[in-house]
Amino acid sequence: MNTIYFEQHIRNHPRVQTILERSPSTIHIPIKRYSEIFNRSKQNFRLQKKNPSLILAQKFEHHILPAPQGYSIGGNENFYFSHILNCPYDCRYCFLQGMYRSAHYVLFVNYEDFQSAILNTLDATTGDVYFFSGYDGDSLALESITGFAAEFIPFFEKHPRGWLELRTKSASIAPLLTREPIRNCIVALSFVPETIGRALDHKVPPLDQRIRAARKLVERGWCLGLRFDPMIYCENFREAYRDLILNIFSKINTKAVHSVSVGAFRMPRDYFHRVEKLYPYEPLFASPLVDRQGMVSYESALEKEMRQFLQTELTQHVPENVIFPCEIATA
Amino acid sequence: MIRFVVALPSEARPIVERYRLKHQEGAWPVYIRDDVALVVSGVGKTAAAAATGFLHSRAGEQRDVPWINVGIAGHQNSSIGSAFVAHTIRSGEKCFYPPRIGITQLKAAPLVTVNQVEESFQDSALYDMEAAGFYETAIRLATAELVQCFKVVSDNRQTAWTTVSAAHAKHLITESLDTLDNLVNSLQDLAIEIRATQSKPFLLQEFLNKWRFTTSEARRLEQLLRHSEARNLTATVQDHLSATRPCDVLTKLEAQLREAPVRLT
Repeated sequence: MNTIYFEQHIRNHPRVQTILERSPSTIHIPIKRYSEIFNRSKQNFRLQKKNPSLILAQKFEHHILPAPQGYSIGGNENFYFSHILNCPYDCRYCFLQGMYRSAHYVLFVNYEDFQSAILNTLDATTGDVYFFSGYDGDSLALESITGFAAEFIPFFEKHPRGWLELRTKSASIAPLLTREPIRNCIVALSFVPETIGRALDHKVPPLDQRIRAARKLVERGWCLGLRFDPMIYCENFREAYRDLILNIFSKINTKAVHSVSVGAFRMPRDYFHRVEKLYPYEPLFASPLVDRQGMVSYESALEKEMRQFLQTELTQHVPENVIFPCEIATA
Repeated sequence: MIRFVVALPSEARPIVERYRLKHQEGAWPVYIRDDVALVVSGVGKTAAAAATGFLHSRAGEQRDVPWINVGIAGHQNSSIGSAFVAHTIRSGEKCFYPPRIGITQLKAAPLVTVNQVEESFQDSALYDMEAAGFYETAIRLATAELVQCFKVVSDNRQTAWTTVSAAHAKHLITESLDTLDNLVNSLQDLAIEIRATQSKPFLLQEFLNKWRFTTSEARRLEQLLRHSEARNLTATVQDHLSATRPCDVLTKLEAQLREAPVRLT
């Protein structure tokens, strides 16, 4: 990372000061609002992905939002929050490519306001409440810069009704191994089979490294989430996913698996068209995809076949009640 | 493929010579050779903005071509001859932030575009009289990653602007041409990547020449050919050139895509 933009009014925020002090060789550029840089028209996500900058900003409102329909791992109350937008990986199926025109990372440094909003949400609800943190970015990939997990795990430790999901493709789990696990944090790792990953998961750590990371987390006592979302269709997808599942469960104690979610590739129509323009000759986008009520995905019969196959394979290793399908909501 | 906007003839001369550009008459002096073009805008934001639009038109109105504003600039304390790309361009209340993609090996500095020659150098920034006008126009013509300002320090608090002759300006730009080349090469690499995403599928024109498609059929044809190419089916696509009707072509391409195994590499 060569450039850090920061909103001038948060120049003295301790998190901003720490990040800038730790990056003396990068160019630090003051701005008024992150929107001066991020998501402007006439920007190219694909080009920016080559060398994204970091933008330090303050989020003023909507710190916590209801999770999209069908986004659940067993709880009735589901919310998400995004301390960071975008991630260092470049997965070709990722909807962020279509959602944003910029590939820069926006880090909202006012964690304290997110935490206040979480407390308000807990006050307004009863029972267990799930907070998903890796919806618009990767929860752990930039931990050395963000200190996100280091800040939020102790916070959730004090509020056991709240469940934190850290969703990641990272294998950098050192911050989790150097502390005691907490009961109400799920470290959720996303996987696709190795052959698919080689084609589509650019800049992502190798599969074996991430499975090793998952095993270490389990051995340390953390709750593990497994995310097969999105599932990608290809020739021999059954063999590819069967191998992946066998590989994972040959190395991981299944008792530590908190939840498994399964969902086929899907992307809102507008996002899909933008991504397709960025990568017009990408084989994934020439797959048998159809527009289903504004969502581009596989035909429902194929989606169902893929999901059922994976669920059947998974039930050989984990109980059915920890497997959660993510389907396209139908009107 | 590159577009230069330069304020003064003395700043333009080294670039014209480096790229062996040929002079063309017009409302502004324009120099062109193959896909490289340069305009001498004259001094000031308005002139730079207008000349940028003029060059775009004169050079064929191609979109997403790299644009560079090259020139000399003042600076509070940087040494004479230092070359920078602008990471911020400020002009009154307006502020622009040229993305720093693929060019981080070059020194960068903030730049202030002023209406009159700067002598006090309040901020540690480059001072010029064109960049903001150039930038505001050029980002309408290309994605922002391709639009940059390249400035060579000609004066500072120790060396007044009045000492900068035309010959000295030419010398300063000449001395910075290698650095400018790095910027040009980097932007051209980005532009090539964009052009690749805009390329039409192989054989599209042959199909269009052979039959008359409706607009929606032609759009569908392009998509099917692109998908065929993405899935490495181009060799068999050629067989469909022997179809008898345009709708048969589409049907056959669709069937081929449906039946071929889905490989992601």
